[in-house]
Amino acid sequence: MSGFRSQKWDPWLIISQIIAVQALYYFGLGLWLFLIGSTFQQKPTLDYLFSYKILQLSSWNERLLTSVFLLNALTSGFGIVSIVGRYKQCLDFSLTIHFYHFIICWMYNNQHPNIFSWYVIQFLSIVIMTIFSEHFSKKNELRNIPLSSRADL
Amino acid sequence: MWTLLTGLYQYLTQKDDYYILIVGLDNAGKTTYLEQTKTKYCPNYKMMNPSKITTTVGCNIGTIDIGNIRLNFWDLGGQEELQSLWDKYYADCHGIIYIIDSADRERLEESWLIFDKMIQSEQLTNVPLLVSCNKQDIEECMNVPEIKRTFNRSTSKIGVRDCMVLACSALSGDGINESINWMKDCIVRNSMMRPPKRQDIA
Repeated sequence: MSGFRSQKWDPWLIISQIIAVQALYYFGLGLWLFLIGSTFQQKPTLDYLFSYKILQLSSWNERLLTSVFLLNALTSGFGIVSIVGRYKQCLDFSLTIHFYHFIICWMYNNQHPNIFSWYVIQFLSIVIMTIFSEHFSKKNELRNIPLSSRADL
Repeated sequence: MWTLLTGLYQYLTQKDDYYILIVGLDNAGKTTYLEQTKTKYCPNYKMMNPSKITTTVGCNIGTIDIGNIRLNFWDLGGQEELQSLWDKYYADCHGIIYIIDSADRERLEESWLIFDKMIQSEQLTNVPLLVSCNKQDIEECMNVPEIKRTFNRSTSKIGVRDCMVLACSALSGDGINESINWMKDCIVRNSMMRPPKRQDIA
């Protein structure tokens, strides 16, 4: 049965999982931005993803944009379940995604995030992603294992 | 990333793992010996009450850390029916401690027969051997030269490996420190032939 995971520490697997999940996060962000941001009638730019000003929540447009992030938390959660699928590591990967997003935003804006709502949104995103992925990976892990014997147990 | 970093930390700080087998006839004092070793080398370890130690069915495991290596002990049951299990452990062990009950004169011959059989196993070539004459605290026990006389018949089969005969008393704890230190030095010296088990990266 080669399906079960390796018991040893596998750094290459973890690194490739981090890259895959991060890529899926940005792919999901772009997708939701396209779907929801088409109401803006402006070309979506990288600004929408990474800049802080956008998230000041002062106008309805910007409030709509936060839904992009929160919806993306759901799809990324699903991505974590399918790529990693381990209940123990869900929180770990969720925090890693947001950590790298934090670093990239810092580099994009050349300063640390100074808008309070940015932190609130990221925190909510972490919470949603973690709970969602933990719920489904727990369900996955506690499935019944089908045995091929005919014996009545 | 947390699993990545903790895995890295554990990989870098891992100690070499060596396995030592404690065998001998039943009632020789192997489990008491193991408990006494754990008491001496693990701080905060409370030893089991010796009168509560009963016959071992299966195996008792103990682990101690000395310096930068970790010694794991397998204390196997010595009853006749359980002796067939001993050879399953020979391939993986790095050292053998053979415990003899010095107060039991009638079974000394039986003990020697088991010892002889064990020594001949090919999976045990070059594995350091420590023969421990236990229960030296009892008044009318045999002393080491007397026991050596019976066991000397196997000298040719012992071959080139490191071998030592020590007196000890598992109840009082005499002789255990020297035994374990000697065993540790021999195992480390022998690590070219039998390397320790290290956790590899997948």
